[in-house]
Amino acid sequence: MRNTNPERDLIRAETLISYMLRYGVILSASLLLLGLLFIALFSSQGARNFQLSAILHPAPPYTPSELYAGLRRGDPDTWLAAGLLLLIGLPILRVGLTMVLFLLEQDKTYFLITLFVFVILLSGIFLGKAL
Amino acid sequence: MIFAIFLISIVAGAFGSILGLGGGVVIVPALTLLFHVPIRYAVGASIVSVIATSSGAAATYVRDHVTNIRIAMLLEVATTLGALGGAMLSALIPSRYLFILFAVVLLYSAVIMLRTKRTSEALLPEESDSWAKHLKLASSYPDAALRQEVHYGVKNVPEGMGLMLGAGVISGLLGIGSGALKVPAMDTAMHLPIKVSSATSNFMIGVTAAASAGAYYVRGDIQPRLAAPVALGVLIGAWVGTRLMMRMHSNKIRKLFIGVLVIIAIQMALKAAGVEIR
Repeated sequence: MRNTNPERDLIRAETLISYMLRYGVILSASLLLLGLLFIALFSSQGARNFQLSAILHPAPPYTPSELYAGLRRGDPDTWLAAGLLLLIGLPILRVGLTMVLFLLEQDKTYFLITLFVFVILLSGIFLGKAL
Repeated sequence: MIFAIFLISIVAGAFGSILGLGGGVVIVPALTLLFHVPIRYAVGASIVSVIATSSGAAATYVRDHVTNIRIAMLLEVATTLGALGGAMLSALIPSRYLFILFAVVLLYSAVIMLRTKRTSEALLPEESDSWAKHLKLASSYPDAALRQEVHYGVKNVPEGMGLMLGAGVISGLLGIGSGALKVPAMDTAMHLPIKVSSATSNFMIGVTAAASAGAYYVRGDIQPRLAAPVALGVLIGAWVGTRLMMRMHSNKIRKLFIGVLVIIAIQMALKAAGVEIR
């Protein structure tokens, strides 16, 4: 990787990240689509599940263990939650990977800049404080 | 109802990805006014839509390296710091005056953008100033409308950082995304091509929104059966929007953006006047 043009290398590595992002988005969209179709077509209430009262009724699964159990049961509402959580995680994952990328590029300034952003993001999540 | 929400989300995703704005300006009023969704869940769905716009667009923009990652990371330092500060100050300042301030800032940005005449992106100054050189911010992107690689320099980094800090403070204070302030700052102060400004803003708002979304999810504001059709629609819209944007001429994008700025400004002014349409 370390040859004449570091800018090109950065772009190549960014392309790699962009493909990961793309597969993440496709996976998330598939989970959302499958979940929505299953709820609309196969559950007892059908499309009525998406009326306002029904939308707000089911409590979303919060904890990792609830999510895991729901996925194993094949519960479509859990697929929706999993698809949404994956979607939410992608930008943070991307900043994390970009940070690793700058480290590999031995670009100290940008590694520190990205590290700073990454730490603020994570602290925002763990403090439960919306930025 | 769900199908209508889905269709509106496609439109929101397309506009958001072309202009570098989150879908919040469209999604929240649509859900609350048309479908009577409680504001709490509308905001939860809207934050998901911002992330969906960003990630959906990013996969294309980064591959074609329209997004400038270095600028995004550098400016994100200022925005996140500003947002943290704003969130802490928010209890102290009545939001009514803030909405007026925000509306004025938006109108001012629109006027400035309107007055900055650019004939062609290819004629942008290639020379970066010393800060931008030191931080290696200059780059290039392939413009599908011009059918050529557009090289660009970057100017006024400290001013850009300052404006981003301000944008962060406002978004932290008001709890709204600040794509509407990020794009003008990059466009006017830093002299970036509008496509680069839009794509980079898109990346940044996705990152900031993702950090907030965790908190929203834990609080139970993100209802899967509402947020899922919104996210799916926005992803499709962003997929279409990015492809449109790459082919659009920059002047058209800037005009569209200025128009939307004015609309948001009016929305904010109404809010300040006590008309709740969010």
